Amino acid sequence: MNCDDLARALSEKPQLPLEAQEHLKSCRRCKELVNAVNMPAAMEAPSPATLQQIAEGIAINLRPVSPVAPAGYFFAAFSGIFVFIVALFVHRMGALAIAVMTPLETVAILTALAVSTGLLAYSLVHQMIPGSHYRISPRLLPVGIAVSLTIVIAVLFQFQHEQNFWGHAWPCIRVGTPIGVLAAVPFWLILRRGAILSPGMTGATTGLLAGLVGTSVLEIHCPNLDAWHILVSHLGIAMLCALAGLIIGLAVEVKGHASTTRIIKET
Amino acid sequence: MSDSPGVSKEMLHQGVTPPVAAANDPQMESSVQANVVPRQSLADLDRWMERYQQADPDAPTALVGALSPALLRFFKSQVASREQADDLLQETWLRIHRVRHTYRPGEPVLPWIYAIARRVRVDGYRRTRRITLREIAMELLPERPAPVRDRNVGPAFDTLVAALPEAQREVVTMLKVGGLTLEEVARATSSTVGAVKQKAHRAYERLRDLLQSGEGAKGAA
Repeated sequence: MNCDDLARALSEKPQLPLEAQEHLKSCRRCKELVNAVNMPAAMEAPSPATLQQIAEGIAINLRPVSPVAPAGYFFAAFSGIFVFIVALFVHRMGALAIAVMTPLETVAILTALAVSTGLLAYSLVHQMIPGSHYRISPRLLPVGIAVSLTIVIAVLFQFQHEQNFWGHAWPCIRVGTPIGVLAAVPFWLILRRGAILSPGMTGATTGLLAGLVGTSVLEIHCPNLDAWHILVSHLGIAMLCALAGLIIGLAVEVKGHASTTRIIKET
Repeated sequence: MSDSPGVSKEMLHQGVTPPVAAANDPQMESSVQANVVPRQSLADLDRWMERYQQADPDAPTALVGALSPALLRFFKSQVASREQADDLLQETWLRIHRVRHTYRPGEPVLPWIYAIARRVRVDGYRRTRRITLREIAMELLPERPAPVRDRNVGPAFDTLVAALPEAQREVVTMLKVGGLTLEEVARATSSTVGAVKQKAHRAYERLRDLLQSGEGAKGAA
């Protein structure tokens, strides 16, 4: 075992293995490191008055609370709302795109949208509860999904040069964006039941999920299979909603700081 | 408190500061303790957390007493002054109280607590920066006297980790002061175990280099 292995062992296990302890006997540098990080330190405890003040402050308003529902409940709620709104609008507008897409295109794009929805809902469920276990970084997930969907669309559909690109794009954007905004409302109502620690990150994730509702409706309804059209006026809605969610989240963060600063100044 | 889950006896045995004892013992303030919160007491914390949700009046005192020393240390290693750390500690408990329903019984308590504390620290940092930007420096303040330390002993943990980048400092402090496992640190920082392991590894390598070059020791002198 060398010094690098010891640093790795120190970062992986609370108790050093025997080999590492053997290495410590012969390496002064590593011994210093282990001593420094494990050294008992003078712990400045909070003053008893502070502790009492905190505990009393909390105890004054102490009422029983029910723990939040299990993660599966919220996951089902997010997914259910997503499917319900998509089904509602597709029922009203018609599934014209299904008739013109090949079976491969249909299965591939709908699967990509379903997987993206599932991952975003999973991430949101965990973002609601502090200290949740993440398998995928919640910061990278929205970016990863946006990039993946762009690649899927670019691979599945052909890039054509439409004569009246914005003339075709605008009606889709005008229909899809309000659907995304509408979907964001019930998502937000669910999120309120948890504790949002990072409003910017959660806002972006929620915005992307809500935007994907609009994207999914358009993917099933709009018969225009130009890759540029799908990227800009279908997937673009999800990106737009994610950006709006991020901005709203950051605004909430800033507003929270400003109000706390005001309270501190006043006191 | 006779039916309490062992605050007065078990926590005392296991090294966790019982709130009532801390309140009555003036030496507790400057007592020398091991860096890490004992793992055995964590099952008690789980039970106290459940009782806190059920509005047991003893629960806030028990939780505040058991967790505050490590939380204060966590804040002290990240921010400059004791006053700021005290403010952050109070704000953390207020937030914990507000969102106590989001703790799921059976889940580990420490990642839940530290995730909230971490957010309070980030908010506090931004708030301090905003106030500092608006303040006008009237005169130069005298330098703070450096803490007096035994030369034979290495640099203090806080001084040592102060030289690390913020993300690495946070991980090492949670591991060594909070007594969290890698998995729990990953939960508290909304990260993955692999990412935490990597940060800890880099932090230890950097600390070893600092100790060798003597920068850490200089900082403590």
